[in-house]
Parts: sequence; C-alpha cells; structure tokens
Amino acid sequence: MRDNVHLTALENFSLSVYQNDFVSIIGPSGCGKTTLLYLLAGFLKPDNGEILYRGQPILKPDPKRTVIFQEYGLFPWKTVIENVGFALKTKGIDHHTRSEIAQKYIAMVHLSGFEHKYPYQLSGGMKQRVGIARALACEPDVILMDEPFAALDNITREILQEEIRRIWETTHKTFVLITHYIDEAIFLSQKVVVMSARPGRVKEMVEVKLPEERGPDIKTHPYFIALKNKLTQSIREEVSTSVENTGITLSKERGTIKVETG
Amino acid sequence: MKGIITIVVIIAIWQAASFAGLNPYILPAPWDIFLAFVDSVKDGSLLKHSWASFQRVAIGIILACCLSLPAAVILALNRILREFFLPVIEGLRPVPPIAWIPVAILWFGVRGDAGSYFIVFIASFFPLFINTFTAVRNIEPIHINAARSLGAGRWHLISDVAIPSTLPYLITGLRISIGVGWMGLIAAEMVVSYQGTGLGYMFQLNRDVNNPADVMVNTITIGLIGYLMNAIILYAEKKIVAWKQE
Repeated sequence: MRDNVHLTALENFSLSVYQNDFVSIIGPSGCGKTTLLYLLAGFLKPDNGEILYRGQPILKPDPKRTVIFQEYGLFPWKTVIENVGFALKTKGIDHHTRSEIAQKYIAMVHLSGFEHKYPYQLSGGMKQRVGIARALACEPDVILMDEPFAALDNITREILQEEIRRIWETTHKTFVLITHYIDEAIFLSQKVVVMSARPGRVKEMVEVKLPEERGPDIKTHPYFIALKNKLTQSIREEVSTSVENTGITLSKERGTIKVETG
Repeated sequence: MKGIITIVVIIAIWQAASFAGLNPYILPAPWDIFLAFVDSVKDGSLLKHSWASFQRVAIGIILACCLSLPAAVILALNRILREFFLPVIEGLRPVPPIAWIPVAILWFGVRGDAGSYFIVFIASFFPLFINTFTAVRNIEPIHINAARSLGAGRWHLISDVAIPSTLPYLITGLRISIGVGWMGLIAAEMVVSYQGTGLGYMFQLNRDVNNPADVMVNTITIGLIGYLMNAIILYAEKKIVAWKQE
C-alpha cells in the first residue's frame, strides 16, 4: 500500500568510497541521506543506476556491510551478549565460541558486566555501545552508520564519537557515516561529502586534513573551526534551495551511484 | 492481600445473615456451601465435571490455535488474501460466542462433544486471530533490517526476530481466548447436556433437584478454574517475556 507519488530521493548521484576511508555524508534534512545509506546496506534497490561493492552490484544486505542504526535496532528480546553474538549465530558458530567472541567486543565498548542485561535496562548511550559491538562482532569490511548518535545527549554523543574514532584508528575498517552534525562529521572523517537538497547529489567532497590521532580538544583547532564554517555555509545554501523547491520532482533522468571499496 | 480481607469480611457477614434467618433458597449459608463442596469432592462428581469442562476448553483452544495462528500469519503477510478474507473475519467477529450455540446444535447435534469444541473454537478463534495478526503486522522493519545486515537468512529471521517479537501478543491472545472460551463453554453446557458432564450441565442438574448449596459450589468452581487458567498464563507470560519493560 505504498504511495503512488514517486519521490526522487537521489539523482545523478555519484560517489566512490575507498577501503579504510572514513567518509561522512552531511546535507539538509530530507536530502536523501538515509535513502543513500539504505541503498548501500542493500535494504533498498535503486530504480535506476547501480551501486557497486568491490565491483559487484549490491542486491541485498550482507554482514560485510553492516549497519549501526539511529534507534539502535537492538533486539529487545535478546540480552547484550545475545545481541552482540547474533551475527556469529547466523554464521553457525557454536554457543561457547560465540560467547567468547561477543565478550571481547563487549569489553571493547566498555560494557563488561552488562552481558546479561536486556536493552530496556540500559541507557541510550549503553544501547548504542551494544549497537557498535554488535556491528564489530559481525567482522564487517564496511560499517554504515545512520545518524548513530542523534538520539543521545551531548556528552554521551561526544564520548561515543571518540570511541568510534578510536575503533576506526585501531581496526581500519571502512566507515560511512550519515549525520547532520557538522562537528561530528569533521571530527570523525577523512572525507566529508556535502549533499544538495532533494533530489540529493554530491555537492562537494572535502578532505579533512586533521591529524590521525584526534582528541576532543581538536574541535577548537582553527582549521576545524574554519572547515566547520565552510561546511555550515555550504549546507545553509542547500537549505534555502530546498525551501524554494517545495514541489515534488519526478524522476526522469538516470542517476548512477557507485560505491567502490578496495 | 487486602483482597483476601474483603473476601473474609463478606463471608463473615454472609454467615451472620444466614444465622439471622436468610432464606437458604435465595442464598445458602457459606458453611452449607462448604459442606456441599466437601461432599461433591468426596463423591468425585465435582472433579469429573470440572475435568470434562477443562478438557473441552483445552481441545477447543488447540483447534482454534491450529487454524487461527496460520490464518493470521498468512493474512498479515499477503495483501491479496487479506483483502479477500479480512472482511469476512471482521464480519463474523462481533457475533457473541453464545449466539453460535443454536448453530452448534444444528451442525453437531447434542450427543457427542463436537458441539462444545465448536463453541470454544469459535469463541477463541477471534481474539487469537486479531492478536497474532496485529503482532505480525507490527514486527519492526528496523529489526528485520538489523538482522539481515547481520547475516540472518530466512530461518533466523523467523526464529530470532518474528517469533520473539510476536510472542507477547500471542500470549495475550491466548489469555483472552481462554477467558471467552470458558464463558462460551459453560453457557453451551447449560443449554446442551453434552454426555451429561461438565460444570454447566452440573449447574442445571443441581438447580433441577433444588439444591442451592451445590449450585453455589458450581458457581465458585467455575470462577476458580477460570481464575487459575488465567493465572497460569500470566505466570508463563512473565517467564517467557522477561525482556519486556514492566
């Protein structure tokens, strides 16, 4: 019973992400950021164009490209350790080994001692730590994050950003982050992609030339502040465009989305 | 705990009223009811009739589960079948279970137990159906997406996502079904004396032989069994759905 109105979320969109990259995608609300992430995850299929992963089209979800969700997406009927171990369960790994591996990732996100709690017994920040551990336990090549810290308070968000940065530095997996926090994008990423208003295109891609090791104090660095102002300006332009284009555009042109890693 | 105090006080006043000369054909004294209870336990009649009724409710509900649960899952998942059959179910749902008793007599007669199963079946079908249907429709897409991006195939989606997320609704449906099934059955037994057994039949029998204390024993037993079945499901629910926030 889907709407017959065809909303074009993305059009003429082209982006390549390379291995070990940390790419953040920012843009005005409703620019198709989440659609893009769902396409990368394989939850959605594009109407036109293609999404490639190591040269192969993405047709369905795969644990090699796992997702950390905004609303955590934890299974409320599973304890912390069962949530974290779920990806291992789908691989058919036995209960004992599964627990051992899950413990390791639970320790990595500082949740040891909470293994047997249910999600409802945890705070928002702890839930997202479980989300992170669960994604890592999947041993993915790519971690896709859909506004992972949007539901959290400021301090918790900053602490988790630092955790993610640390995890990226140590694991060197490929991260794609969708966010509307410009600070978060700059702090975490090697590259920041600014999307245009709907239908979303790549407006610009900016390299973040900050040192590899980043602490919270980097947010006061003049380069950080200058980049933040530049990106804020860039998104502001798009917000005003999206206010002008209140009508719904119908898709006619063929768009291409390409995501290549490796 | 406080409820027990109320019950004790009511019984005390009741007993006092009986001493003061309350007509036992209107309300027999608690003590006489207790004696009647002891007698019907001793001669085995209470247990026999209780067991007969319990068995009918159990069989009727198992039959309802067998049809209602698959039907609810299929209609929840398939739009075309849903459009064909949901209006039929919604149309039959408001018919009170006891209104099916004459139909049960026409279809199944008054001899065997089939008619009593049918009444329990029809009473419990709808709450089971509606709860299961709602449960399947309410499986969160985010849980499905999360599971698939963690490598879950069809089997794990069913065992680790669909079943646990629908279970709370299903248990609620079962609890409501037992309640309405029990009510429908007692009414049916009062109208149709299936095999000459069942608490509803025992009711009629004791009324016919002018035995008010035994009628009261019956009423209390019917309430007690209904209460116990409900309590057992509530207990099971607490154990099975421990992950739900209180």
